[in-house]
Amino acid sequence: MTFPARFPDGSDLSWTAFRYVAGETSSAEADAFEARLADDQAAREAVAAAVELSGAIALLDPVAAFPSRPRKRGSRAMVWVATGIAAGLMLGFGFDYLSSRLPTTAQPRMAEEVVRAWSDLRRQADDPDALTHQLALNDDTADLAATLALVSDSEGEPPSWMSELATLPPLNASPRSEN
Amino acid sequence: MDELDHREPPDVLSTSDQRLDPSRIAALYVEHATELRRFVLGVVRDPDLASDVLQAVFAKAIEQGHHSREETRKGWLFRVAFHEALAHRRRENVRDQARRKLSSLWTRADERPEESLIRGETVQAVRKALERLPPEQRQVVQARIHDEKTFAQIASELNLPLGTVLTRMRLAMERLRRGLETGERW
Repeated sequence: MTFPARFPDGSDLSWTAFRYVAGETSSAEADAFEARLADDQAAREAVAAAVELSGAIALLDPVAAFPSRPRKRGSRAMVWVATGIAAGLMLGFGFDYLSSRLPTTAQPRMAEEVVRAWSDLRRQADDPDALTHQLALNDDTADLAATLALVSDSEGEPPSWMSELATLPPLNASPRSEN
Repeated sequence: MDELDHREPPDVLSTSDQRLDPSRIAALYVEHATELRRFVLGVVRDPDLASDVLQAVFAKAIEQGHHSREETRKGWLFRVAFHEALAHRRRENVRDQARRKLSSLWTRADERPEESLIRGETVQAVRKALERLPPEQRQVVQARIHDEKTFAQIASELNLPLGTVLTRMRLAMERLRRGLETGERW
């Protein structure tokens, strides 16, 4: 069975039929559509098709059919995940390597890099597809709540501890003479 | 009942009173009952009431089906079904504009085995089509059909204009229909 064609007046018969079946029409719209059902076989078949389609969707296993966790507008969970990775790298190998090899004058530049990376992470957080994908990988709702609190306080700036981290000398570097 | 066609003789010899042969009635049931039932469900939105309506429709087909022509018999059945649905709805004093559990419209304990088979195939086709939806459309479909939220509630929770939510749902349903049409077997 193919879905019926459009109404002669150009409106979408299938969409109207779905809204009618779902109870999303006003009383006037429902009355008008039922007047059409009295004579229009295409409209009747559209109703039958709408019942079938919506019923099939309703019968799906929601966990399997809708794997992405619903998110609210403005969520910043991916910022936390990526930030955590970045911070870990800074605390571990990357920061130690760079700071031990860069002159002290490069340390303020490191702070700038932190700010730039933070901005990049925020831009990525605004990407709904990337964020949804990341949320699907994140099973820990407690961490998610903490993340949202952290980022919501940031107001576009990286946390102060991260900026300060970029200015600290490395723990394991050899003493350098200050020139 | 209006628009009954009296012009043509019955296309199958009936056992008595020029009525349609029982085998023809049975064939009509096999051919059209599933779609008829879905249509009636869409009008009355009550599975038990729909069963009563369907029974009344085929009782009418036995009594008056011979007045219709073969080529228009499907339309005749649907027209009868619509009028019966309205009549039953009035008798039950049900004109429910509220949301319905859409899943409940489609389950039926006494469904024929072949209907169950078709339903399984349809569900799988829809599942595959759902996987191809953009996330924002899938989100609205889930909220409306699985979470039973109104479009207004969805718009409020997502902080979106109602029109955006409706558009996403409409686009999603169009894509799912196309997926069903390309994947289904009738």
